[in-house]
Amino acid sequence: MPISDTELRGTVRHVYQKMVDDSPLSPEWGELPVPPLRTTNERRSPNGLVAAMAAVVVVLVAVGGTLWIVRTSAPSVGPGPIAEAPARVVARVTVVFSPGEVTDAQFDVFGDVVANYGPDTDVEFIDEATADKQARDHAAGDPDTLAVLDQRPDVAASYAQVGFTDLDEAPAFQEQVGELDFVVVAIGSNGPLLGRGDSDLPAMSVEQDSIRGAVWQFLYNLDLPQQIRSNEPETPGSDLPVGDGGIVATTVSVPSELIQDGVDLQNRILADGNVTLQELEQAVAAMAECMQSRGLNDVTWSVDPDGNGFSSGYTATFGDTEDAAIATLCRYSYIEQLYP
Amino acid sequence: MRVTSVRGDAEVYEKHRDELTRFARVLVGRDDAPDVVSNVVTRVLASGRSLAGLREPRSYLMKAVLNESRSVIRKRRVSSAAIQPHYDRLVDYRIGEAVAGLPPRQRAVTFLAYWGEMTSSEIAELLGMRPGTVRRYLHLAREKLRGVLDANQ
Repeated sequence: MPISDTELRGTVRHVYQKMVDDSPLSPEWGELPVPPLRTTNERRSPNGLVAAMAAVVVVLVAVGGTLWIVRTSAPSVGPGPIAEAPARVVARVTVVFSPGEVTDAQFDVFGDVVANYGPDTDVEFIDEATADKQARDHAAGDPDTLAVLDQRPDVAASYAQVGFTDLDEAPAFQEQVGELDFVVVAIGSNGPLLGRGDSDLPAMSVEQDSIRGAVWQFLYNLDLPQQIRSNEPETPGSDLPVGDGGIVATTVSVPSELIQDGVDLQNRILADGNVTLQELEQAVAAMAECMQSRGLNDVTWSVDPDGNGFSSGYTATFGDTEDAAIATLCRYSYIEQLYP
Repeated sequence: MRVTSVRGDAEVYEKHRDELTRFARVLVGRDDAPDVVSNVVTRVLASGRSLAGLREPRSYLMKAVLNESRSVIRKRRVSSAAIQPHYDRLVDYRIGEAVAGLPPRQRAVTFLAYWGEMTSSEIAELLGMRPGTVRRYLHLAREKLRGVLDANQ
């Protein structure tokens, strides 16, 4: 006979009670390690905390024409700038990896980088098998979704993270995605994947953008093989809508080096913090020119005047991998920062 | 001013210390729990923030403890045995094992729901999750725990 909810609750509660039974003992306030001083203008950087911990205050004092160098230890805790905790999770990052592809040490570095953005960032590390299982658990009984997962195992992380169960629940799913603000990174033998909710998502906040930058830095540092999946969409690097739920996965091969002209163009456009339709057209045209000048056949491009993005295409020229490398290089050089 | 601020930080810390430590103990075990809490508080202060200046210190610190615990679990590969106390009944031991095997976030929400008797909405607000996400975690955890109990019948 199946156990009742009441009995389940009672048993689990009893077990938790045992776990916390001993009186909790954390250090007294005075026993806490003294944190180092962080100056108000210290930039939050991946190594910021480490730098702060290593900080030694050196003061130059001029007395009677003699320069004294006074070296002091880090001051005790001061009030510092008061920063209120954001009321919501800034970003959710799920890193999906193939065992053996990425070392624990690399993940530790990445974890520290993201953790430096504060506890409002929710980071999860799972392997591909776990992502796939989670996605299938959420999609149990939904043959359409399961079929999508069979075709695109690389989007399992997105499905797992969002956790919807039925593509027919599109409106509710859209609402959920809109609030998740997540970034999904999958790192596997076929290269990295970065995904996010669809265009209904609001623009990334500064924090999210910084985290995204950290994610990319991490991917660059991995020096993964530049491979593209054989079942990539026709234009690698383009957005691929999956199902009615509207989730979009962007699969990319990370270029090892960007084209300086493109980087400069993006910087100029972003100087005022806005990207106008005209500027987007200029960048997309430059991206297309980049693809064409590198030999891709039948390059096309368009920008949606209603602000729903852009599209580009070409016909097979040199072979899947070579074509994809060109398209991705041009996209990341000319567009990526404008239209993440 | 500094004295006042530090005193305010100390008050916030003392107010939430036990709850944070209990929470951490469920997630990483009794040995690592004090370190997790200590690390979280130290990191907040080291980043230039003030505990007393946080808008929702309880929620902020609980989220931080959850994330720090997940980091500890990932880095140290904390085994389920680390959080297991002594049980008198076999069924408790098995449920304890199953609880310890739950992913940290599922364990966190079941602890707050079953031990803390909080609603899904309250947990969601505390941990910065959507209520639907909390319910999903609860559902997944309940299914696993129910399976253990049913098998034990």
